[in-house]
Amino acid sequence: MNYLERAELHGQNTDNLKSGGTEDTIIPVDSVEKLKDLLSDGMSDEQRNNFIDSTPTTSLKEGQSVSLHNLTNHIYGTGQLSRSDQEYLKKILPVKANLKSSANLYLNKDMIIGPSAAPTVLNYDTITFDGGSLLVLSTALKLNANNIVVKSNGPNPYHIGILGTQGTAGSTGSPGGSHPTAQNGHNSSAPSPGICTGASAPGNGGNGITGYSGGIGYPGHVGLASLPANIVVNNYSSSTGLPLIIHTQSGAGGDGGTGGTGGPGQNAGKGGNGCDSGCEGTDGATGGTGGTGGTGGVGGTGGNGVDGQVISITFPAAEKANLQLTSAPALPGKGGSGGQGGAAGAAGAGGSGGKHSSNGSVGSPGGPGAQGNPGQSGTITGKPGSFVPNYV
Amino acid sequence: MQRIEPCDLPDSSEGWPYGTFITEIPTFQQARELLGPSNYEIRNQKSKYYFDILPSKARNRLRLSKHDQAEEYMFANGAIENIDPAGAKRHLPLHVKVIKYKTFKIDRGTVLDVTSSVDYWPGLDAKEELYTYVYIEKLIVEAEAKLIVHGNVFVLNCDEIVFEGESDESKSWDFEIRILGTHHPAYGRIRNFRAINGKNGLNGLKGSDASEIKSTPSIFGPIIEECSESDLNGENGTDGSEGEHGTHGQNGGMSMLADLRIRKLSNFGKGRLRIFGQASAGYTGGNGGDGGNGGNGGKPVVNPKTKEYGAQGKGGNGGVGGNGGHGGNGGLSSNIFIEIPKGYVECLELDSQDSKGGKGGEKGEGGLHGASDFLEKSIQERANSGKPGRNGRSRPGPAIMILSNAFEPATSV
Repeated sequence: MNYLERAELHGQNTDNLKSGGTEDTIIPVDSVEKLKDLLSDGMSDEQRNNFIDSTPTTSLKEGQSVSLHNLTNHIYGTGQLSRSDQEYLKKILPVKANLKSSANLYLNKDMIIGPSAAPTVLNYDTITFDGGSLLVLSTALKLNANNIVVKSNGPNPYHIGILGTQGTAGSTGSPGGSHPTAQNGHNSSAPSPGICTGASAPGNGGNGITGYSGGIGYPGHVGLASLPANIVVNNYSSSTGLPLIIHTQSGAGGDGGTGGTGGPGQNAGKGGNGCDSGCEGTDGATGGTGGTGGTGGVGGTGGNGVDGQVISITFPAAEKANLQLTSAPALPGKGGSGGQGGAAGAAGAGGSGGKHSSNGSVGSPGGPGAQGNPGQSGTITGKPGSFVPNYV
Repeated sequence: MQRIEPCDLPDSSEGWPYGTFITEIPTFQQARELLGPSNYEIRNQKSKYYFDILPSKARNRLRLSKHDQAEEYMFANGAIENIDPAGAKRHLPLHVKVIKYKTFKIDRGTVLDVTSSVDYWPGLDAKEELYTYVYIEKLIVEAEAKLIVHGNVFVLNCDEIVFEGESDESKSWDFEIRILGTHHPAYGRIRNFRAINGKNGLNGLKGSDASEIKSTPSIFGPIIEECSESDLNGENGTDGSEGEHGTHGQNGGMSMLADLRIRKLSNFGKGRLRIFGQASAGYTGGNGGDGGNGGNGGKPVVNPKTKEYGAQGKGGNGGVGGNGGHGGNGGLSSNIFIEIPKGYVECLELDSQDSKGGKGGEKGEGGLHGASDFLEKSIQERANSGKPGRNGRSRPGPAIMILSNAFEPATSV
């Protein structure tokens, strides 16, 4: 089936395509079989079996992920659906798919699809790479190209990238809260009018306590997987001798969030005032020592990388030497930086002295809080999706 | 300023040298001779009336009666045995400013402020009681001239006060002597420090917004993750804290004893020499701090399946405003004695004003309750305000007593 027949099958305007126009259509998908037709038509049984054999199972759990795994194997392979898969389908259908068609796609800059877009079918007669790449991010892809021409390479080390999406970084932890100012020292008062003799000593200002620790940085999110792709190329032409490079890398883990800033150390209390009777007085008391700033929060844990999905490629056997398949692992996210230590609590002011007496000394300020420890990196590296090539 | 060493003090008030000086008088006995009247009959009359009008309750509470007894000894005829020696010691030596001139003229509309200052004696406590002794043999004044003293124990000794020039008929007086309170607040057992405005309360924290419901990429396109109802709701804001109360205002400065000795008035019409007395007003109380605003409620998110929003978080309560501090009371007043021959009494206009109470501090406003109006606009109300501080009490003005003749009873005004 050529690109015009495929376009006509889905109701696109072939006259427009023949005259050099483009067609961009949203196709309603109300059954799994329709999606299968869109994404995996033309795959041989051998390709389907290879696809199933190569599908990663490491992240499978109960529920949604199992059903999606089974549905993927049904669409790209020969897997059967269980009752629970059918039930799950009812929850998500109908969906929509994108169909983009034209005679020529000329890429002198990157064309990006996704992340996390509706399943997409690219339907072209000829795709020419001349400094640009096709990047497909966490989106299921069916690519039909009657001809591919590579005129020049671009900044990316590949022409087609089947990629995941890095998990979002964790948010910064919440800052440590503040304490109200520590208790002021009690004032001394005249036991009887005009007399400070026998007056109790004023109290020193209360010392500040250590500020609250900053909150732990939020963990980085798990990467988003690269999704299955089915790439069908009928002819390859490289007048420049450049090979077609298809690359895959699933989503790396997001970095952990920075730990929250430690709370400020508690401000110290003021020293109590000395007795001041008008006729005589006593010295003011010393202000308290400010509290140490709170320790910064521990950085958040990095998110894990995630395994990529299978990429099926149909390519002319005569041009096998001109197809290069490359891949890279999806690294786990780094641990977040430790939060800054909280500010030192202020010294307490000295109490005022009474008549002919001295003011109390100002207390000492607290120290700044320690920086929080960095978070731990994620632990799981996502494997790149497997290529299942089929040379015809 | 020139200074007389205590060892060079004269034996009697007649012996003060001419000029403006500061000095210290080591004993109450010396002060009695150097500052008090020489006429013993006058001293007896002053003692007779000394405690008649003074507000003894308030003065006793502040132990001022001890001061009054020492002053009665120096300026009237009190007994030295009434003076508490230990307490008196704390006020000795007396710090005195002396102004003595043969003639001195206060020009029209000019103010002569004779107030002494602690700055003349480095290291002296800012609230030390100071004495000012003025002896001008011939004081010449023009219309609207004023002689002022703020809060010093004050002696004005004039052989003659001469009014020169034209009276301003729009004024009720030609020359005014103003006995006023100290520039600084009075001592108080409770209100020892300047009023402080209460701090505003801390604002509450905004509740966290609900996170967007996530979707997972799949071969079917993004699949919305299962979410519970609570995932759609914003968090509640936290409460603002209360505003602090303002502290109370200090009491106004006291007006001290004034002893005016005038032997002759020339060219003064009836009531044209005005004697005015008033202690300082009480100080304003501190304002209450405003309550902190409550944190706004976090925003909800829409359920992608039902297209309905979750609930917005409730706004935190605003903090209650702090109370204003009470205003300080007006300053206390001591006596004003006027020695003057009977024939000149009608030239006097006496004006004793109550000292004014300080204004109460303003109430702190209540904090705004946090908003919760993402879905439906609403009026943000406030928490309760604090209470305004009470105004301070006014205190009676000084008793002004005229001793018109050493051999006749004094008239109390």
